[in-house]
Amino acid sequence: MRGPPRHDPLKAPAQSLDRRVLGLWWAASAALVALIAIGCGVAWFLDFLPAPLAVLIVLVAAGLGGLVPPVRYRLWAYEIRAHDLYTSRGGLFVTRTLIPFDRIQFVETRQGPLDRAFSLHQLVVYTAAGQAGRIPGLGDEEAGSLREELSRVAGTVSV
Amino acid sequence: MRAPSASEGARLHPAAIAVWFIEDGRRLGLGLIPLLAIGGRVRLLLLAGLVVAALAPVVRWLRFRYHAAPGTLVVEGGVVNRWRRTIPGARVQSIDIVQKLRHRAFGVVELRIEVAGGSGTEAALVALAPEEAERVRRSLSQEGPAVGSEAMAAPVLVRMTPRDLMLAGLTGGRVAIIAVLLGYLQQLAPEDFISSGAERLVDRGVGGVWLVIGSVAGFILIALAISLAATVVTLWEFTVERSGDRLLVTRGLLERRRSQVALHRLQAVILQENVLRRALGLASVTVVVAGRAGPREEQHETSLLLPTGTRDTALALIAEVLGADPSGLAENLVSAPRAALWRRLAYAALVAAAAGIAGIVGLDARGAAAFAVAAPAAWAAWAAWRALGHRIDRPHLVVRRGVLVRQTSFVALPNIQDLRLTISPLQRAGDLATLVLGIPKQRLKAVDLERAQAEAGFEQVSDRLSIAFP
Repeated sequence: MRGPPRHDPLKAPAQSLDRRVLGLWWAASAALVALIAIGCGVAWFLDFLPAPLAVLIVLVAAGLGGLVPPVRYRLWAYEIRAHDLYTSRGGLFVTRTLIPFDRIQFVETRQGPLDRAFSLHQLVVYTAAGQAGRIPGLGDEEAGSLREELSRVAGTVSV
Repeated sequence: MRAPSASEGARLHPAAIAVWFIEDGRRLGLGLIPLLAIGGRVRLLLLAGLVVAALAPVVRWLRFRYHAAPGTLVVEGGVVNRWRRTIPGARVQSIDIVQKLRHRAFGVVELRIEVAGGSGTEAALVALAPEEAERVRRSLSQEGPAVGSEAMAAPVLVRMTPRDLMLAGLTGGRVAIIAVLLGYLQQLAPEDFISSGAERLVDRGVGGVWLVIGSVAGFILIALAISLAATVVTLWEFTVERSGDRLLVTRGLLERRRSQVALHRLQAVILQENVLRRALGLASVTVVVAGRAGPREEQHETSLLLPTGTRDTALALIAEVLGADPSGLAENLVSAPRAALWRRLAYAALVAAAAGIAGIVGLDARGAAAFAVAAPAAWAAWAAWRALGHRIDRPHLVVRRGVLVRQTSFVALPNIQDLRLTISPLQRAGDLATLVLGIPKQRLKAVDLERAQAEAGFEQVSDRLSIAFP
């Protein structure tokens, strides 16, 4: 970054995700690292990669896989404000999303196999423009109440 | 108020029987006719099938009734399963009056009604006398009846003369597409056909350079001719009229089509200027309508509001449609900061470096010539940077971008569905950010704003969206 920002940057949303999502992301990274390790092993076996390089790649992948989830967790935030849903995520690639309640078409909660293993839910919000926002790592109650709350305030304005 | 019953309603024009017969026939009947040659029992069965196919439209016509009351349309029909559908005028997205060749033969038109959220055409009255179609359209959109024989003079916003259409055809994007297609077709032609022709020309003393120039010129001419013909046929007598808060678009030579869209259904209006048109001071205008179903090509055609015209005409039309002040509508856009140019130049340098290295590795030192890609890449970067512009302080947000086709999009604030701010690593280095406006069916990107500006814009638009909340 070049020098200090010239103004107050956008205030980040207040609410963090459920801590268990960290476990979920670590599990996902572990699976990815395992895949990379297998790939490197095969490449080494077929003489495409020298052994030290293969080990280095796996170590870097493992290091990143361990470090990225906590950073990601710290940077993920959401907030239900007076008139809209506000989320912010990412450090390298930052994305901030704002969805006014009266533009929401419908809300759904999803649970993939990994989510189920950690008893977490993803909340997905749709507007007329398509899928507008997604919040991963919500506990049972939180996800349910958010879905109900957002559906309640969702747009009644006709198309 | 009691919903009007359709049973006292009207039947379609008898030509509907023929239209349905032709449509069914296209779907299955024609394939059966050759089988008649088989003979024996099969032939009898097939004949019976054909008779049923011929009778089905008659029964369908007998059962089909519609009733147009002010603001609603009731349609009922069905031979085995009876159905009845009430269409409230308030839910109607668009009404199209179509006249294909098969309608033309009987002097009738088809009326198609599309409803917001519907998956396709909600109701199709396949054959109506033109005056009757007009009456149904008016009654559904609760317009007053036409005064006098010549329908009440709706102000004409656009009327394309054949000359305008030729200009549109010659400068349109179709030319490029057709040229590419011709390129493919050429490969299908037998090889010796082209090479022997070339040899004959060389024998007559036509030089190699002239041969190349001649064939390229011929190629372009064919592409132009096809594009011209296609444009003139699909857009023949293209007219846009404004009737109250609705737009009526009429067009087509072989297939006449009259579409109606309510102004408040327009999600965005886009000023399109391709390279050629920009050089000539021309532009075209398209609109984004939510809930429009149908094939993509048809969608594209229907969303066209001005095939081509001077930039001023186009802007005046946009102002009229948006109900905005035409002066300075697309002027004084905030251009992208210099850092955005650097970011694009960085990508261009990356491309040139990759090309150069690939050249050296693939060939030898002479391959370094590939570094010359840097020049056009840098020019493209500069042009892309110049094209960027935005303006979010008005009731209509304006976003401009694009090198080959420069698109200036105008969106009314209430049509914005969601809002995004994204920052990539290179953008962070240049203190830039991208603002993404979600409108139905697509997302408009205001790329590479100054970061502070983008953040301020994000808050400003979010506040304005909130105010709209009751």
